[in-house]
Amino acid sequence: MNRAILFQEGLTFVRRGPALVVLALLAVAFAYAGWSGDRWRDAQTENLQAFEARMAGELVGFREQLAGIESGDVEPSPYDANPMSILFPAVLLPASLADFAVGHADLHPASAEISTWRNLSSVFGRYQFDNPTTLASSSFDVAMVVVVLLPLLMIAVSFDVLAGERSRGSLALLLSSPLRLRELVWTRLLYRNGLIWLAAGAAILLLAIANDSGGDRFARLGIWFGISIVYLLVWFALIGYCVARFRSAPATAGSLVGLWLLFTLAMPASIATLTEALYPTPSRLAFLSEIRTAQGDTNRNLAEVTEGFLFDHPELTVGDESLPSFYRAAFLSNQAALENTRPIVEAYERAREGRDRTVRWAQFLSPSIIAQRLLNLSAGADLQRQHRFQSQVQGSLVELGTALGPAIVSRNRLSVSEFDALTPFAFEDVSARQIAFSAVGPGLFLLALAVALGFAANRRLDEDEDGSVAV
Amino acid sequence: MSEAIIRKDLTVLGRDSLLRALLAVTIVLVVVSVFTGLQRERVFVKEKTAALETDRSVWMNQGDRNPHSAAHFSRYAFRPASPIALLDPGTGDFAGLAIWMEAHYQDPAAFRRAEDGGELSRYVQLTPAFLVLTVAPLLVFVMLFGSIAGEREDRTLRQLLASGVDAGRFFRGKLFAGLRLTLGGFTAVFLPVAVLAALLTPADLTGDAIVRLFVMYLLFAAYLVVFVALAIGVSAIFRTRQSAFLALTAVWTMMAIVVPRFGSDIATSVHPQPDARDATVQLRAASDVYYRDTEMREQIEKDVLAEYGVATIEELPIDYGAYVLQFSEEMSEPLFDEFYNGLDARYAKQEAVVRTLSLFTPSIAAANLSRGVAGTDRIHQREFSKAAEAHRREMVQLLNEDYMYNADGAGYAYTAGTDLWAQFEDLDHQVPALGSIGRAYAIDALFMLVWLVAAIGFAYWSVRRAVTGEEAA
Repeated sequence: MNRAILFQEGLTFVRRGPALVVLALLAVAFAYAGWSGDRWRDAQTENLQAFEARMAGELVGFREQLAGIESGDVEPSPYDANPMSILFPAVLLPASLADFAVGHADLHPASAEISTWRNLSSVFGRYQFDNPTTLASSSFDVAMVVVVLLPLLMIAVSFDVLAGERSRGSLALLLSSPLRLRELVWTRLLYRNGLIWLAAGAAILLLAIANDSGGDRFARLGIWFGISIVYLLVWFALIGYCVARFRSAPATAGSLVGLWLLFTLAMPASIATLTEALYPTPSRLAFLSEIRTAQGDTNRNLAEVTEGFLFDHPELTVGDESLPSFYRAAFLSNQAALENTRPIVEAYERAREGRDRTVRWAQFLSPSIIAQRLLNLSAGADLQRQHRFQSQVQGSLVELGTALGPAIVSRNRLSVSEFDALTPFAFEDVSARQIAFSAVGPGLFLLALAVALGFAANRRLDEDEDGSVAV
Repeated sequence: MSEAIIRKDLTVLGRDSLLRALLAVTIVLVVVSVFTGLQRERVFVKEKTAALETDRSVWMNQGDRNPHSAAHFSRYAFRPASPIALLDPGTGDFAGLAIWMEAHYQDPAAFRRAEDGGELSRYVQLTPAFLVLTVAPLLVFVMLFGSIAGEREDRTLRQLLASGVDAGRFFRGKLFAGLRLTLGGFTAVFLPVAVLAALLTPADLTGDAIVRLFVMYLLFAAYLVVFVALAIGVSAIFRTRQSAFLALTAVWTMMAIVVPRFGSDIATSVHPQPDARDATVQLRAASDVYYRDTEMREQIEKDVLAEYGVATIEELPIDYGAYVLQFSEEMSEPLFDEFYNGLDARYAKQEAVVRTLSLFTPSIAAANLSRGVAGTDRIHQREFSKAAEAHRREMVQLLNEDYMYNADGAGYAYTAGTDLWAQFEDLDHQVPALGSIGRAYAIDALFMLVWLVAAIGFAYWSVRRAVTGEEAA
């Protein structure tokens, strides 16, 4: 590290207004994104926990009623402690680093009511209350600051590292000293970007501590830091390469802004369009039609369907016949809907797998896609997490239907021990270790890309230096 | 003289290979976005038609059934497709496609297409509107950053001034050169796209759709004029291309990327999105309002008995259960209105916060107007929801009244058949004419107008200042 260059940078760069403006902008962006993310996560957690507590209270009431009936203390009406009334809550609580990235978490359902009154289209309840106008705009979160804004700020402070010498024609004179061109460029770049990185790192660390919500937050934060560092290293090396490759400052800035546009906007948009065209999901309306058809058929042929179910369960004895038939009809039509929509659900899964596979490969076309995916993954805001929740809820719904079906169709109650044997929903999340494992490959790719770009930049700079000195 | 400046600028810009490459890439992106948009809309219309037919068929073939039971099963209302949604899908994918018109509940629109999007679709969508509103301003800036800064850097401005060009002519020359290239290019791309959209749209092409296409052209053209003027104004402030380029890049980043996202985020921080669980509880409370009020239930019974002059429910000439069902519906209706009006008010507050940031960027007003003109914004969605709710109330009343007057003591065992089901028609809601809802966009249109005037004024002021500075030097 050349002290003279550092001293000169200190004089010319730090004391100039733009550097302070950039640092101030960065501080404001991180502070707002952190505050907004923290508010969102806390509100979401609080709402979901309140929902879970309310549902748990109802289950306690149900059990007490069931125990009273079983012990003979309560004279039941046909509706009391009916197995159709069993409702398990399912919630997808924000992950411990959720304040850093909202990702897909604001779009998909975060809670479900697992009950035999429900089918796949209704198990998540009514949740589409968000304003579509604001929902359509992605959040201004910490991930956005890192992936989109930081590279731009790095470009803004770095594109002219050689511009002064080149435009004044003093580069050859400067290089007649023992100073090497690569040393000059990298030292200046490191000085300018180092300030931004230090500010960003301190801001992230501060947010992580200030908004700490426990759990595996700091393990996830470690992954977040790792990804951010290699991502920013790629941009650092890319800036170095463009500075070496282009002789004028506008050409350097133009090419860097063009690459930024390509990597952060054009490429994600094009790949998203491509994957959705290659792997279209089945129509939601076709899914709805299947459910409606199954419900209509069951309602019309309720007697036959009931008979068929009881025929398959000869061990059952029919209980209280005064219970209205729509209880049984609702259960059976939902079971039929589950069965009829199975091929559509499987087609959904296939389309999702195809898309995931394509994005896993296509991500290597843009460092920003890799960074966005991995940052979302470490914050628990990735699409796969939402899909895992939905698929676990569906599994739980099927399980509950299987457990309660015989009692519902035969119009009997469960025993207390049967009720206690039912399994409440618990979301199985991936661990920080699994996230780290997923991040290794793309992370190493980013690192290799940064090194390759750095070497290419050095080669260019050496050629340039030879040319300049010869002149 | 202005004409000479225009010709010179057009010649210089025409030789710029970087610009030509960027334009070529943009045209490819436009073509891809138009065809994928067209494909999306075709699929949507096809799926909607199929779903509507299935829904109708299931409804008509449900067999003999108690009318209230049928009201629970009910039907779905499907959102109409806008003929020019392919140009700007707007918020359409984030709003539900269908509303279940069930008894006792006013449901929100469900089945949002965005939920089927892939991992990357949440961040950015490749649509013609995105290209015009976000990418095109950057192209304009790349094209014009050296417009005046370059003349100052190369010292050709002094030569021009020495040849007798005044500030007004110089400004007109620079502005018209930029406009000719920008609007010429935009028109050359927009016209075939509009014709394609009109010819190939799977939705019904109405006179209103043609008007909307024309308004969209004007809007986008005005939006680009703002950026041409901003580019010239900023370019005139700086003495070097480098500084002008950097400043314009910063302006674009703030105006097209940061402020719109920030606006939307801060709007939901100040006025948070409603919690779904909470909203469900409120809707349940609205739905159950009659059944939770024991006193009222007793009073209603007394009132009905008195009205018909009988002593017991069994003596009533109507089915009391059905009467109560309809009564409870009518009690819930104002509560549903209150809930959804409250929701709308909250959305309007959020949008007002975002709109306030139009002071810092024309992108917000232009995006609002673009969605509105394309028929894919919340206002169009709300019109659909209102029509569906009116249809639901009519349908539930029809079914409950049939039950009430024809049950003849059979109670829940009473059934009706196809004749009754046939009276419940499909919801026939079309995209409202732009003129009928145009007032909703007045503030955004005003913001656009202010930006247009302010940007041109700024450009003139800035060029005049640069010219005066050069003359003084």
